[in-house]
Amino acid sequence: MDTNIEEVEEQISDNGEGTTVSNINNKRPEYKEDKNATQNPILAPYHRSMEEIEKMPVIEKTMTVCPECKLIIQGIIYKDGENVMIRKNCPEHGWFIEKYWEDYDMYMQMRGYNYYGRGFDNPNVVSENKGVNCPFDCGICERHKSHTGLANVVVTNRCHLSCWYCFFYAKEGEPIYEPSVEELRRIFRNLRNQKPIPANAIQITGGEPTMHPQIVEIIKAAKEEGFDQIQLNTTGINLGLHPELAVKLRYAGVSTLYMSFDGVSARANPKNHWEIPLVLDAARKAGIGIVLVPTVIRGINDGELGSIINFALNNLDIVRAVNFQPVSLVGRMPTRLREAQRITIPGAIKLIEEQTNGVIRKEHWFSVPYIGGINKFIEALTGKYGYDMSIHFACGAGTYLFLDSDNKIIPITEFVDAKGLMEHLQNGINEMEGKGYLARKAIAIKTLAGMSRYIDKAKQPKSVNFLKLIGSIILKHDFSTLGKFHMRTLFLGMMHFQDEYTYDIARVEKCDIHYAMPDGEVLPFCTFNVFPEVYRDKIQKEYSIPAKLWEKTHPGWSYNSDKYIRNIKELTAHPLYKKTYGEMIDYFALDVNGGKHVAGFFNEKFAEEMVQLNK
Amino acid sequence: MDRRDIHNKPGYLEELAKESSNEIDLSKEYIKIGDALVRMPYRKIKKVTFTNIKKEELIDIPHAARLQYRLMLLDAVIKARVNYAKGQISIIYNPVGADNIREKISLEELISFLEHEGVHIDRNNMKDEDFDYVEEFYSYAFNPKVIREHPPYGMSIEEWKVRKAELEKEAKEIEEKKLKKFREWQKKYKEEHKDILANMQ
Repeated sequence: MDTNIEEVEEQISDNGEGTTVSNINNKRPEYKEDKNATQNPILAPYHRSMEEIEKMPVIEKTMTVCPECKLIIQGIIYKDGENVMIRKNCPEHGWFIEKYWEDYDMYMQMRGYNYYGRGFDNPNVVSENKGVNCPFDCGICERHKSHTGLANVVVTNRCHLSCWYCFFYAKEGEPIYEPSVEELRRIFRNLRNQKPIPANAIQITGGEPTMHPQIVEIIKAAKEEGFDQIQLNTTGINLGLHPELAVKLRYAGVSTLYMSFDGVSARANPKNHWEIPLVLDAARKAGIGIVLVPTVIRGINDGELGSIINFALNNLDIVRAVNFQPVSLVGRMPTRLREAQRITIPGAIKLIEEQTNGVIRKEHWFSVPYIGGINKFIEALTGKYGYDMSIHFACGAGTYLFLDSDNKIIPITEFVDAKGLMEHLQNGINEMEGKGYLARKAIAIKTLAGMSRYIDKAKQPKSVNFLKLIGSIILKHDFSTLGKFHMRTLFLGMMHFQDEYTYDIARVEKCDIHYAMPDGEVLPFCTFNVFPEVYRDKIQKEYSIPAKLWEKTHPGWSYNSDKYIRNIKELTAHPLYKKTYGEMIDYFALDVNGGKHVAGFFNEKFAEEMVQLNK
Repeated sequence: MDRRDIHNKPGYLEELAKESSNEIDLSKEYIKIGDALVRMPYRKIKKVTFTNIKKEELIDIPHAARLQYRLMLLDAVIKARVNYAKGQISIIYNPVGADNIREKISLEELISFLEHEGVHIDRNNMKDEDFDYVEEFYSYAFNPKVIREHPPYGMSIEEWKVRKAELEKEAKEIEEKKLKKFREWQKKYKEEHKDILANMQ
C-alpha cells in the first residue's frame, strides 16, 4: 500500500510555489491490487469457497441489507478461525462476505454485556409496520432500543477542506444547508424534550461547523436549552488560526473539541497535521478539552495507532480522549480495496497492543454497554434517570489509562476486575428491583461495601484511591470528582460505524448516536450515513438553498472562497510545530512501561520528515 | 441512480442552471412559529393511499420494504410507507402545481413508477388527499405524543406514579442549579479573558 503514501506525499509537495496547498486532501490515493491477496492471512477469510464458508460454525443470525439493492436479507454471523465474519445472500446480487469482528474470543466475551435500553416514550415517528421495514421506517420509531446518548446536529454543510472520502460537505454547485440559530434552537428543544431521558450531550457538526457565521450564538443556544456536554466536531484549523474564537466558544459553552486526527505524521494526517500545534495551543489557552478522532484505515494509518496514543499522553493537560474509528467503507469502491482497507475494533486493538509494547493489551478493553451497569446502579439507588449506554456490544469499546506520578501507564482493568464488578452491581440492581426507597438504599450500601473485592489496591495508581472515587460518584453524585478523574486519565474509545457490507439491523436499532434533523426527525448514525440517499442528503436537500441562490443572497461568496489555503513553510517554521512534534516523550519505551524501543516511533519519523522538508 | 453519484446524474448540471436562472422568492420559504422564523420546504402537499394491493405483487416483507426504499429515492416523495401485512402503500409527495421550489411529481407518475415496480393500482382503492406538511408531519415530529412510560431502574410503576411529580421537580431544580453554576463560571471566565470577551453577552 506504499502507493497511497506516495500519492499523499505528492499532494503535500505538489503545491505550485512549493509552500501553499489548496483543496486539501482532495486526492483519492490510487490503489494497486495485491496479486497475492489470497496468500495474505488477513485477507484469507474473503477468499474461501462458499462450500468451505457454509461449513463454518454459525454464531448467530441477524437481519441485514443487500449492499447493492438494499433488500432486507438474513445475515449469518459465523466463526472463521479467529475472525467473526458475516455472510449474506441476495437473490439478485449473490453472496457478500465481510469481516464483522477480528477476534472470536473477544466477541463472545463482549457479547455478554449486551442489554436492551429504554428507547423513547415519545418517539418522533410511530409506524404501523412494527419494525419489519427497519431501517427504512426510521425517524426514530417506538421500537428503537436506546435513547439519544449523543445528539449530532449539522449546522452547515460547507467545509474549508475537500477530503476525497467525505460525503458530509457540499461539493461545488451543490445546495447549501445552513440553518439559522432559531431553526437550530427548535432542533435542540426537540432533543431536550425526549422522554424518558432527554438528550444531554450534543455534538455540533458539519461540514466544518466553525464556518457557520453564528457558531458562537449556536453554542449559546444549545447551552440555554440545557445541554451539559457540548462537543464541536471540527478540523480545529479555524481555532488554530483564530485562537480568540476558541475563547468565545468556550465561554458560550463548548466543553470539548471532537477533532479529526488521523496520525502524528504528515503522511498519515494530511488533513490537519500542520495546524495541530496551533490548535492545541489555542485549546490550552481557552481551556477546552480535546478528543482526538483518528479514522483507522488498514494500510493507510494503521501503523500510527500507538504513536497517536503517545501523542495524546504527551498532551494530557488538554487531550481527554482518543476515539478511534475503524473506517466505515460507505459508498462504492473496488471489492479488493474494501477488503484490504477493512479493519474492525479488535483489529485496531491488536495493533495497539503491538505498537505500545504490550502496555495496552486486548484484555484491557471493555464493551460500551459495560458502563451501562454502573449507570443503572446509580439510577436504581437515586430514582433519577441516568444515561443507558445500551448500544450494541459490537459498536464500541473503551478503556481508561492512568498516567501515574512516575510516568507508568496503568489501564484501569489492571486493577479493577471489570467482569466481577459488573456482575456484583447487576446483582445489586436485581435485588433492588421493585423494592421501596429505603430498602433500595440499604441494598446499595451493602453492594458498595462489597465492591472493594474487585479492586486490587496494590496495583492501582499511586495517585488514585479508586474505591473512594467511585464511591463519591455513586453516593454523593459528585461528578466534579469524575472531572478530576478525567484529568489524570486518558480515555481510549473505539467506535465502529457500519456500512452496507457490515450492516446489522440488530446493531442499528440499539444505536444511541443520533442525528436530529430539521424536519423534526431523529435518526441513528448508521441509518443517516449508510442510506444518505433516503435520509441525510434527501432531508438536508429539502431544507437547503440552491448553490446559485446562495451565491446571490451572500454577496462575495464563492465555493472557492470557502477553501482554506495552507502555507506549509510558514506553519512548519512556527516554534510550536517543532515543540509539539519534536519534543515528545516515548512513554511506551520508558523503563517503567517495559523499556523497549517501539519500532517506527514517531520522533524518528518526525526527524526524517524534517530532513525531507529542509531539502 | 444513487444520490451519492449526484455529479454524474444525467441532467444534473442543467438542473443547477435552471435553479440559478429562476427568480426564487425566498421569503415564501419561511413561516413564523412562535417567535422563530423557520424554513419550511412544503406547505399544502398530497398524501395518497393505495389499499387492497395484491400481496403477491408486494412479494414479501423484505421486498415491500425495498419498494418503500425505492419510493423514497424519488426526490418528490417526502415519505413512503409500504405495509405488506395490510397490502397498503401510503406516499406523502410534492404534487405538480404545489407552491414551492422543490422537485414535484404527479399522481400518474407515481402510479406508473409503481407499475414499473410490478405493483398494479386499482384506482377504486386509492385515496389522494390534501396533506398539510406543517400540521400533520413537521409539527408532530417536533412535538411527539407520549405513548408509554418507563420508570427508572429499580422502581416499580406504582412508586413511579406516586413520586413522579416530586422527582420531575427535583430534576428541574437540578437543571436550574447547573445553569446557575455555569453562569457563575462564565463570569469568572470572562474576567480572565476580558480582552476577547469584553463585548460578549
